[in-house]
Amino acid sequence: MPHIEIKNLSKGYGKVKAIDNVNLEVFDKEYLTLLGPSGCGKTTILRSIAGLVQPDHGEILFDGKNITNLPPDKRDIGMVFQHFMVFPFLDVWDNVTYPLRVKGKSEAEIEEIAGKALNLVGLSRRVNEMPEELSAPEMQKVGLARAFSTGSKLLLLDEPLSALDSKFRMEFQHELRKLVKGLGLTAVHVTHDQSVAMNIADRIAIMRKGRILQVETPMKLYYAPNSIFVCNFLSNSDFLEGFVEKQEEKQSVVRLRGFGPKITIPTDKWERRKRLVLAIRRNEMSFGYEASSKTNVLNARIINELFLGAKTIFQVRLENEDIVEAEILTKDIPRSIGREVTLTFNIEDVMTFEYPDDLAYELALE
Amino acid sequence: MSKNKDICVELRNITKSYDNIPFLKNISIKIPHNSYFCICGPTGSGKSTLLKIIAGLEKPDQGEIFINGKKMNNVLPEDRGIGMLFEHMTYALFPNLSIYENLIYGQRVRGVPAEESKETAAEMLQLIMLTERAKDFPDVMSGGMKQRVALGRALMTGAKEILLDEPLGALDAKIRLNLRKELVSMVKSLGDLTVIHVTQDIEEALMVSDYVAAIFFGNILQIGTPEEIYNHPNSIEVCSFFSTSNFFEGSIIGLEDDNAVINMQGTTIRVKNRAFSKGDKVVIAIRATDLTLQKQRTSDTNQLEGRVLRHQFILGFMRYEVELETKKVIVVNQRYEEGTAFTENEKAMVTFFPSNILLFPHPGESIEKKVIF
Repeated sequence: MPHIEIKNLSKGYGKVKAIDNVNLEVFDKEYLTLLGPSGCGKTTILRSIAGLVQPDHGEILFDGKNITNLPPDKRDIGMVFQHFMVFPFLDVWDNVTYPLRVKGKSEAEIEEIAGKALNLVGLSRRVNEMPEELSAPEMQKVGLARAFSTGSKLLLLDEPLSALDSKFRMEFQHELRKLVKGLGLTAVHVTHDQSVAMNIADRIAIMRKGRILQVETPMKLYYAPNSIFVCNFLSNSDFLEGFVEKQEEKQSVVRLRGFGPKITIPTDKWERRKRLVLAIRRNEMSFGYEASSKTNVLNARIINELFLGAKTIFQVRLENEDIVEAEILTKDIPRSIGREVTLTFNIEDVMTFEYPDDLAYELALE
Repeated sequence: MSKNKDICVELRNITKSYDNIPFLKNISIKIPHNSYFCICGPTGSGKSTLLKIIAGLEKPDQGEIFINGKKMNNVLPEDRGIGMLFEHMTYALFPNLSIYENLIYGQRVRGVPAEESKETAAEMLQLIMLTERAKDFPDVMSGGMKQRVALGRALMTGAKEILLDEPLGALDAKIRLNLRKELVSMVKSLGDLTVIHVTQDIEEALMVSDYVAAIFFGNILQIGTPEEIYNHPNSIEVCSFFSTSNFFEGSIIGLEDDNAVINMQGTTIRVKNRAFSKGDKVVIAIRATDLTLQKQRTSDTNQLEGRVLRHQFILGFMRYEVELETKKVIVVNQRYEEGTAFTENEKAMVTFFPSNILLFPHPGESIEKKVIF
């Protein structure tokens, strides 16, 4: 019943803190992804759980038991890697049964366990093939079957999908989640790919520069990010600066900087004159027809159009010279589009953040 | 594309084989001056080889290469006066020079005044998001950062013709999105540049280019503006590669006013199109974004029943794979709305709008062979 607790974990390499006082809990049978840009420390956490990295401070508990100093082979973990780590000189069967042989299992046990694992990943009929005869997704399935056949209830995955073509990735990610759930495993999966994390995980821990910023379900992270970085990392949003002008019941009016237009926000939690950053997801904006009590309506002028096929990005300038990008489905664009437009978006869809010390830092992607 | 004097790079009847297997098949292209030209196709389509032939890094078996009207077949790569960034040359930075010095190297060699270089380099550093790393050396940078420096250096060589092979390939998704937008404005602001950019990323190609050449299996099937390529693809191949589309077979059973009446595997649909005659066999293409899933049947026509196999959330949209009664699997992309999303195995009515349907003549063979991912 693997339930992992990570307490005050830190690890440095020279002057660089790879992870900085991280606390994280992974529940039994949970699928958790560690998501963040390259170098954020997500792999260091995974490797610490595996025992491949010795932390400088802090502890790791499996089911309440401190395993911080336990060597990797005593931790009972299945691991899957980005570059498959399949032995090229062994066939599928020998690759999958390798860890079982090392552990000294009997032939009968090996037959049963490995047979089951290969069946799960759909490679039962390919046991005699060599890795070079397999496609990339099949190779990764060998890696997965090998991890399953350890019998461990804890599966650690390090970018297992990133060496697969995008057309296989969606299918593989779907199957992977199904297998993990079917076997009742606890999984910790490292990725830098927002889409993979959103679609495979029960919860996502989003990281930056060695720290965990938010741990939430995918939809909550996307629709209710707790910081500008998380919002920017997970969605394509516009960020606008303004001051609270008026508090109303359950909503407030924000005046954009430079005596700009007013935007109604769906909260009354910020006091008057408070300096805020508003975020609006670009694909939730439209060129307005119906204004209602539920929408914000802004005058804008189109300054640039970027055609992406199914959607078109319009760069528009607001009255206060702020520039906003709206992603509009190409099929929704009225044919006689003028240069002056009204930009509309729901009040509910405006996210608000306290103005940070360094906005450029919050908006950087690394 | 216009008169010869406006042509910057021209390829005439280029062919190339490896081990007697034809790889590029009689390719002719004219690339206008001052344009951003993308060569876009799947892995193995021959697009990088074509770029290497322009650069002089590969020799064609047959055909001619002209740059600014001058035949280049026997001119060495370094004498062609072209700036280039090739995918596997990502790390070809000078290790003993800082990022800033790497960027201005080309300008320094050409004797551009230091003050002028400084200004362009500052802009370039901002574009590649490395302003604070200007003094660092390549060995302490990540792969993605080095790629950005290599891109900046290619743009700053001072060459008027720039070749870019997957210049945004190795970068994190979010950085790639930002950089491609900036790339367009940077190229425009540098002025008087002809860029030939090879990519397999269709959004990238549509967004950055003035013209796109669609290349598959060593053949260029269509050259046009991004809108032409996306909205008016000339073949099933181009349509399938540049959009997520669903293809059905059908035949024209009648003509009414501007519409063709089509029997699409038992369902009757009407499509605004007069290019076909009664009895013609056709392929019907419907984009994933032009389909919607509904919980209930709302109409007798233009609706098909299916079952949701898989779903995926992508930036506010749901991508559904739906199995129809005929066992055919189709893709539907629609906006995610809480409470109205479909779950796995749920029954769904697939609704389509006849105004957004494309028709192609039936190729006579299986259409699956024509569909390119």
